Formats: sequence, structure tokens, C-alpha cells
Amino acid sequence: MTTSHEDDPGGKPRDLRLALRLLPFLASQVRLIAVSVALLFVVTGAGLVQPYLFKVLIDDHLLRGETRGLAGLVLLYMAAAAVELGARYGQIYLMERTGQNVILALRRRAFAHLQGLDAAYFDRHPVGRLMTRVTTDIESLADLFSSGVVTLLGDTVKLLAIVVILWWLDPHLATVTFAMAPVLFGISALFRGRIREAYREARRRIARINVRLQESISGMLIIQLFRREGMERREFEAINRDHRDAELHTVKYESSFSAFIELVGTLATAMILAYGGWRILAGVLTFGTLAAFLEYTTRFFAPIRDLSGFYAVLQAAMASLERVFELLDTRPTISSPAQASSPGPTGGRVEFDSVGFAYRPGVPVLRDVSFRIDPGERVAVVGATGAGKTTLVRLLIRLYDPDSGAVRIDGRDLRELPLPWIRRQVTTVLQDPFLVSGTIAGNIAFGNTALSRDRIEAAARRVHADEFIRRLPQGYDDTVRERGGNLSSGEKQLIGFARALACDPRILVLDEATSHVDVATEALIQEALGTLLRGRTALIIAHRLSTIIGADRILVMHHGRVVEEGTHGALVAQGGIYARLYALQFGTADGVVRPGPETDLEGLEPATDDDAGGAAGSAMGLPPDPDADPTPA
Amino acid sequence: MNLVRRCLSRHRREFTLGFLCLLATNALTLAIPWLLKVAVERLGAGAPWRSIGWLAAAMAGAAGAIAFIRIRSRLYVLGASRRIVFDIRNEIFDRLTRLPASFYGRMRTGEIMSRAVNDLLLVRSLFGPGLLSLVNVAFLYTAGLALMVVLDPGLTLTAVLPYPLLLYGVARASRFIHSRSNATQDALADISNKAQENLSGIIMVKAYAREDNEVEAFGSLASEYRRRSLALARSRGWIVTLMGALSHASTLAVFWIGGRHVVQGRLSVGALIAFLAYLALLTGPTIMMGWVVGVLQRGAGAIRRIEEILGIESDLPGDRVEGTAAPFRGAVSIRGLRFAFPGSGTGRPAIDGIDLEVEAGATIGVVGRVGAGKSALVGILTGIHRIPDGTLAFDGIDLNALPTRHVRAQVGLVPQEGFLFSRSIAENIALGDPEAERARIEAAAILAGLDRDLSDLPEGLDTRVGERGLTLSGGQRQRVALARALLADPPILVLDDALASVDADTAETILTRLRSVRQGRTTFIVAHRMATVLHADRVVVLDNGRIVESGSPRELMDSDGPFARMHHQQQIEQELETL
Repeated sequence: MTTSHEDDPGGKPRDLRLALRLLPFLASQVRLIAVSVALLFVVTGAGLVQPYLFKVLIDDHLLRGETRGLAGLVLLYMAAAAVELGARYGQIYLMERTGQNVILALRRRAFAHLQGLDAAYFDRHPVGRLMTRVTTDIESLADLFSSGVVTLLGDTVKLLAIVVILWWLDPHLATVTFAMAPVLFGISALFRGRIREAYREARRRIARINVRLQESISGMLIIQLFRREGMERREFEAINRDHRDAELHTVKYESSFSAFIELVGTLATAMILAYGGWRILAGVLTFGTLAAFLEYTTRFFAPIRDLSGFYAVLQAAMASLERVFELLDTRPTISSPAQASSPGPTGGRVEFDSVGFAYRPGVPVLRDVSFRIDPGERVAVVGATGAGKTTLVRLLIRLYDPDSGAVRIDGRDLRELPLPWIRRQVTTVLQDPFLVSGTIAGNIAFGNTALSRDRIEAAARRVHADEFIRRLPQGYDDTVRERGGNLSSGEKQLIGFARALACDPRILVLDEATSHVDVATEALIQEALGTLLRGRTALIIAHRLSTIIGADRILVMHHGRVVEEGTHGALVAQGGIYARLYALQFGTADGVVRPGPETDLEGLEPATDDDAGGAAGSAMGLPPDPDADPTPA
Repeated sequence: MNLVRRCLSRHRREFTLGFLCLLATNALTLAIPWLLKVAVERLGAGAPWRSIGWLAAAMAGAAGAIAFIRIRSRLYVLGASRRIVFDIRNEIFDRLTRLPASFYGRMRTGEIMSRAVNDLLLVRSLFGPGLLSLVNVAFLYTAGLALMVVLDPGLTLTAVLPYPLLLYGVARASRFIHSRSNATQDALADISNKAQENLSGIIMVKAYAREDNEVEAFGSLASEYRRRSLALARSRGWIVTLMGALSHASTLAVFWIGGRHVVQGRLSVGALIAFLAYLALLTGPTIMMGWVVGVLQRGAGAIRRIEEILGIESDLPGDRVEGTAAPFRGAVSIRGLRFAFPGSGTGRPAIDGIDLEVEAGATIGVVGRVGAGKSALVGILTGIHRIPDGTLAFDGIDLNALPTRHVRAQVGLVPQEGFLFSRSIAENIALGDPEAERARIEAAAILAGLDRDLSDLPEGLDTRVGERGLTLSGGQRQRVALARALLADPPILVLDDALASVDADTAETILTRLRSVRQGRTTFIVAHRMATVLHADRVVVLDNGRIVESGSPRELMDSDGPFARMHHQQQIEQELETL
């Protein structure tokens, strides 16, 4: 889509500073650049010798009827052409290579930098915009290398060389050519500015069409329900017409520009011909020189015309570079301490000590939360939506730092421990296992290339995922569609379990999924959960009754505080918030445990991620999103 | 390709004039080498300078004329291409406003946008530079070759000998480059997808400390892209080099043979120079042909995709019913209604046999969990979905026998998502009635409980919202949508969970006001929150597309069925919130 508000052309020339920041990336490419520049001289030289050979051919052979040496001359011309073509190929390719090397380095650097940024940074910046940084923005550098930098250099060299040659051939005639140069440059400068402005306006207006289209398509049902189609059509036509008029403007300038340039070229030829003809008659100019002169003049005008185009390329590249460097300048606030030594494996003791936290200042999510989990203990956290349960998980793997208080593992503040160590000791299973495109095996390994196939399959077997995986056409090598579109939610959960088990962590944090699965899968998941939790310190955001009852201890969160703590029996007897929550979730107002994990009408649970696709699709009575169909293919 | 014919014939005049101008410029362009030849010949023959001066003046005149006519030709043809894009874009939009919900369920916004934006760019190139170059090349070839033959037939044969090879090479190469450039674009798409996946799941990546693995994986995709880009650059380079070599070979052959002819006195130097000039004129267009073929092919593909959209007709029977109908009194009768979303795959109907009689003026509550069929029912009542004949009637007249636009005028909807257009709030409320007086808009806004919000907004009703405007909260958006529906005061009003994002107290106030203004008019209240339907005349509980419970709220509360259970749970929930 071309609807980007970011490419709104600002028009301000960028700082040289930005270009200077590219230097470190160019430094490693010095040899490529040097060879490319050297070849550029060869190209120019071989190109400029050709018209001269032409002159000799006419003056010394054709006009004198001299055939001796003609073969040699033609061979020489052939050699010059071959050298020019060969050198140009090498030169362009090397420059392209330089550009691609720089792009690769910068892209890797930007991506790696993104990986290190805070979770909070990603809350503030939409994925789409960040993607643009590592794709389109960096891509725009390619133009700079494939055309810009070298063109500028090449053109300058060529221009100077031609000036010298023309002067040397015939200073009088040269003045005619030189006199046309400012005219040509003036026309270019005059038109380029207008053309650029006209194109900018056309882009602005197409952006408006895009915005309008997008909005009309999303709101088309409302438009139809309120019978506003006619009005919308008229309004769209008006915007469309504005755009057409801007486009016609660009056509006008563009057509006139190219025609004028051509005109100047032809006029110059005519003048040189007239003046040159007179000088031939006067006997001060040879016929061949005149022919060569005309050829050089053509080559003289081309770079002048191109030069003014370079600025636009430069400007676009600089605008993109600025955004990329802005990203690289963003420093994460959460990072490993400077001289953190990796401690040995954790004992598995977790402690929250008077933790307070807010995503947005003034809206506290956790207030003075304190609790301890002893090694091997299994603690379930329950509470209504928004009580702060998920935030506990985020703080425990240090995606965020608490505003007050401290989170500790084995009595050591997380802020004193290396980040990778924390996240290897504490393995997290989220509600949405976040499946990536690739194979099933790849999803269990989740990027850990060191994990052998045996260990992947062993993990899958232990959480009972093996059975359904083997039933897939390609087993472990079966392809997972984006976000696991071809797997059921139960299967996705099992893959998430296998992934966690393959890490064999000491501490496990589990955000239990709320999505509904059939009874058989439910039983599998319960068993798998038992395997996963065995012998580990566990913090579980629990939604299933069996999980809660099976916990050693239950923490009840309410409005960001731990309000009750104890076993299921004790808490129900206490008749507090837990007793009510329990009644709410499981449909028993009296607090008596009834068999069966769910009531038949579950209208209360807020839509989870799994439901969201379907719910959004069915809003406004639209059929469900065809690609979000959660049923296995 | 119907569209192509239509576009060409609608802009027949521009294209004809444009091509005539093109013909004229080409003729003049070809005249210049001829003048050059004459000039050189006269110089060689020692003609007076004055006659050369005339020739120079003629060349200058021709150049001026070329410039002028060329501008005209481009203005005609390129201008026509822009006008064609304008026409087609209007046609697409027009068609979009006539397509039903089933179309929008099938085709994503992005796909539609891509046709109305990207594909039209391809169409523009097809009718603009594509057609222009095609005709230009045809002219130049015919005329250029003819003139060359006049100058020296034998030499012409030598000169054009490499051309079939050149043409063949260009065609092959452009296909090759096209596939390599696709491969490069694919690699870029892989990078893009990887970044998208990584950034959407960055929390998971961090939680599993897999940053390094991710950088590694991304790096190898980026390397692959570099490899393919360079392969593309290499093949481009080779082709440019080969083309250059062939055209040099052609020039050299002319030098070699033409030179001998000159020396032997069979050809004048001037004719040789003119000959070379013609040859140079042909080289450019030949190399261009590869590009032109690509433009034509891609343009044809784009036109097919656009025609696909333009060819779709609405599947709603009501869209084909002509004439008008009487305003509704408000009685609704549903009999044996079944409905499945088109293309939902699972085959499970969203509505699986519903019977419901609603007398004019009644207030009906519809409740049920997500996926129970509420939204489908709402869509059916407002004439969005296609249903079989005889399953839904308003005042005894079958839905499929009523004009869709009439049904929509009579049945007002307040959707779940308060969709706002990026205009002022007043314009959003007056969406269905742009002529509405200010006082009526204000009254509707007050009725929808917007009064307090409006006084907090910088420009009240005239505040711009949506994209590039103020962002309203979910509850505020829903109330604007409510005001929009209330403005028309339709005989039948459907609230599709329209107060879900409004806080309980405000919702209560709005419902009280609604009860008084909707007196005697039919209202459907579809809701998640049971409290919303407690004042309805009748409540139906939907589950799996069927009515599982029906009766007055009082009866249902006493029966201990699903309604009573859900209501009880919501009470506890609310209680918990206030703890």
C-alpha cells in the first residue's frame, strides 16, 4: 500500500551529519569503492576517445579516400567500445555491491537494535511503522548507490574532460557549446523545481484518495445502511478529480521539460553546424572535427540534465536515513547491568517485595504487591480481568522494571542479573503461544538451533503433542501457517507447552489459556500441564478450576493488590473475593464445587486473543474473516 | 478487455490527435538527419555559407516545431491516460458502493485498495507511456527504415542485420530480468514478513531470550536478498552490455562498409552521417521495446483484476426491486429462518431455524453469548444479508420483495462498532440526512447522551473526529452512532450491543430516554449486558443459532434458565467491580 503519512515530503534539505554517520558503514567497503571509482575514469576515457576516432576516420580517411589504416582505426574504435562496455559493467556492479553491503549491514544493525529495545517501546510504536524502518527506509539507500553518488562523481569527471577536449578541438566552436550550457542548466533547474512540486502535490492528493478509499471501504456498510452512496460517490469523484488535475499538471511540466531539453540540443547542433560550416569554408576547421564536435556536445549535455535529478534522490534517501538513525539512537532503559556475572542455575525462589507499577503515570496497575514462592512451590494467581495478573509475569521476566519495590530471584534483585540469564531460568508460557511460520519442529525449538530433533520430539511426546503432530501429513516438518491458522487452539497450546518443556527451566510462569477446547483435548492439556509443572517453581495465572485447586497456594489479586492468600478450601470458607470470583467463573453462587469445568453458557469471559478474530469479523454482521478460521484445515 | 475498448473509444479524440502529433514529430525528427546530410554534402561541394545558414535555420525551425508538437502529443496521450484512470477509479468506487456485505466478507480491504491504487498505476502506464512508446516505435521503424533504404539499400541490410538478434535478446532478457526481479521482490517480502512476525511477537522473543537467534535468522534472509539483488544487477548489467555491444557492432559494420562506399565514391559523406543518425534513432526504441512489452503485459493483468470487481453484481434480491413502498408500521415476522455466512466453511449455520413474531411498537431484547447468532440476526433485519424468500416479512411484505434502500430507510441500526468517518461530529450524525437542521442534530445528540461530552470538546458538534481528528472513546463513538440512527427516527430501530462500551449509569439514562421517544415504535435491543433488556416487552435468548428461551424479562428471571444464570453472574461481576 502506498498510504504512508511518513513519506509526506518535508522538503527540507537534510544535514550533512546524517551522511557522515554513514561513513563507518562505508569504511569497510573502501576497496570496492576505490576500484569502482578507478573504473569510472576508464569508462569516461574510453567513451570520450570514440568521437575523436570518428574525427580521424572522416578527416584522414573518408575525405582523402585513404583506405590504408582504416582497419586499424576500426579495430581501435572496437577496442575503445569494448573497454567502455566492460569497465562500465564492472563499475556499476561494484557500486551496486557496495550499496548492497551497506544495506545489509545497516539492516542487520537496525534489526538487532530493535531486539534490544524495551517492551514499553513496542507498546508505543505500531509494528507497521517499525517494519518500515528495516525494509523501505533502508531500501531507499539502494538508489543512492546505484545512481546517486557515482553519477554525481562520474558526471563531474565527464563534464570536465569534455570541456578540455572541446577547447582543444576548437576554442571558437567550444564557446557556442559552452554558451548553451547555462541555458540548459537554467531550464533544468527551473523545471525540476516545478516538476518536483507538481509530483509532491500529486502524491499528497493520491494519499488523500487512499485515506478516503480506506475509510469508505471499512465503513461501506454504514454508508449503505444510511443510503449515502450517492453523496459518497460525488465526494469521491471530487477528490479523484483534484488528483487527476494534479496529475495533468505533472504531465504538462514533464512533457514541456523534455521537449525543451530536446529543443536546446537541436538548436545547439544547428548553431554549431552553421558556425562550424562557416569555419570549414574559411579553412580553419576540418570536417571530421565538426562531426566529432557534435558528438561531444551531445555527451556534454546529458550529465547537465541528469545532475539536477540527483538532488531528489539524495533528499529521499536522507529523509529515510534520518528515521533509521533515530531508531538506532533510541536507547533501551532495561538492559543487563554492566558487570553482571552469570550466576549458576537458580535455586528457584521468587520474591515480589512491595512492588508498585504503572504503565501510564497515575494509573497504578500493581500497588504494594508482596509474596514469595519457595523452590518447587506451585502458586496460582486468580482475579478479575484488569486486576494486574499479567503484569506480574511481565515483571518477573523483567520486560518492565517496577516503579517501587523489587522483584528477586534467589534473593537477588533482577536489576543486578543479566537479562538472558533471567529469561533462561524463567520460562514463560503465554495464553497465545505465538506460533511463527515455519515447521512444527521449528516452532517447538523457537529459534534455538542448538536443540536436536530428538529433544524436540521428546518434549512433544511428554506433553502429548506427539500424537497429533504425527497425524499431520508431514509430521514435525508440517508447515505452520501464520499465527498457527491451521491448528486448533488446543493443539497450539500443546505446542506452546512443548516449547517451554524443551527449555527445561527451573521456574515456570504460565498464563493459562481461556479458549475452549473439546473434552478430550482438555484432558490432554491437563495431563500435559501436570508434566510441565512437575518439580518446578511455578507461577500460574489460572483460569481452570483444576489448575487452581491443584496449586499449593492461591493468591487473589484485586485492583492491583494481593487481597487474599491460602488454599482453595480455606479461601472458599473465608467467603471473600475468591469465593465470589469462584462463583462467578464456575456458576455456583453457593461456593459448592460442581463437576465439569465450565458452564454451558459462557457469556462473561472477555474475548481472548483466540476469540478476537472471530468477534471482530462478526461485528456489523460480516461473515468471519476467511483467513482467521480457527478450524484445522 | 471490454474496459480497454471502452476507455479507448471514450478518449478517441485525444488518442487520434495525439498519434497524429506523434507522426508529425517523427517526420520532422527524421528530417533533421536529412538536412544534416544536405548540409554536409553542400559543404563538401564548396557551396556558399549562406545556403548552409538557411539549412541551419531550417533545422532550428524544425526543432522548434518538434518541441511544440511533441508537447501536444504527450499532453493528448498522457493526459488521456490520466483521464482514463480517473474514469476507472470512479467506476470502481461506484461499484463498491453497490456491492453487498458478502463481497466485503470475501475480499479484504487491502486487496480492494490494491486494485483501486496499484493496479490503476499499471493501467496508467499502459495507456500513457506504454501506448505512446508502442506507436512511436512503430512510426520510427517504418519511416527510419524506409529512409535508410533510400540512402543505401545494401548498407541498410548490413545495419539491421543485428536487429532481429537485438529484438530477440531484449524480449528474452526482459523475461529473465522480470523473473529475477520477482525473486528479489519475494526476498524483500520475506524480510518484511520476518520483521512483522518478529515485531508482533517481540514479547515472546524476549521471554525466551531468543534475540540472537532472531538476528541470525533475519540476517540470513537479508543476505539472501542481497544475493538476489546482486544477481539481478548482474543480469541487468550483462544485458545493457550486450545491447551496447550489438549496437556498436551495427555502427561499426556501417562504418566499415559505408566507409568503403564513400571512398569508392558510391556514397557521399553526408549520406553516411545521415545514415548513422538514423541508426542511432532506431537503437533506443529497440531497447525500449522490452520495457514496453512488460508494461503492456502488466497493464493487461491489472485490467483483468479491475474488471473482476466491476463485473460483480449485488446478490441481494432487494437491490433489483424497483419503485418505492409504504413506510413500515413496525410488525416483523420471522418464519423458519436459516442463514449461514457465505464461505464460512464450517457449514454450521449462524441462524438455524428461528420463528419470531413481533407486533408493531414492541421492544424486543435479544441476548446470547458470542457466536450465538445475534449479529447475523441484526444483519438480516437491516437487509445486509441474503436470505430465502418467505422467511422475513415487514408488515406482511416479504423482505426480498422490498427495495433494499427502502428497508434501510425504515430499519435503523446502531452497530456494535461506532464507526466514525473523519469529518465533524455533526456530519457524522447527519450521515443519512445531510440536509438535517442543526436543531435536529442537537436533539439527537442529547437523546444519545452526548450532551456532556460535546461541551468538553473544543468545537462541540463541529469537532473533527477520526483520522487526523480527535479520537473519541469507544463509548463516545457508540453514542454518536446512536444519535446517527435516532436522527432519522425510523419505524424500526436495532441496537446491536450498542451500549456495551458505555458505562452502566449512562446506559441506564439513555435507555430511559429511549423508552419515551420510542413509544409505539418497534425496537430491537441486542445486548451482552442483561440489565439492558430488563425493560423489554419480550426477551429471546439465542444459542447456536436457535431461540432457547423466550418470554418477558420477569418470567425468564423466575425460570432459572440461561437468562437468569447469566444475569446472576453479571450481578456478581458488577458487585466485584465496586468492591
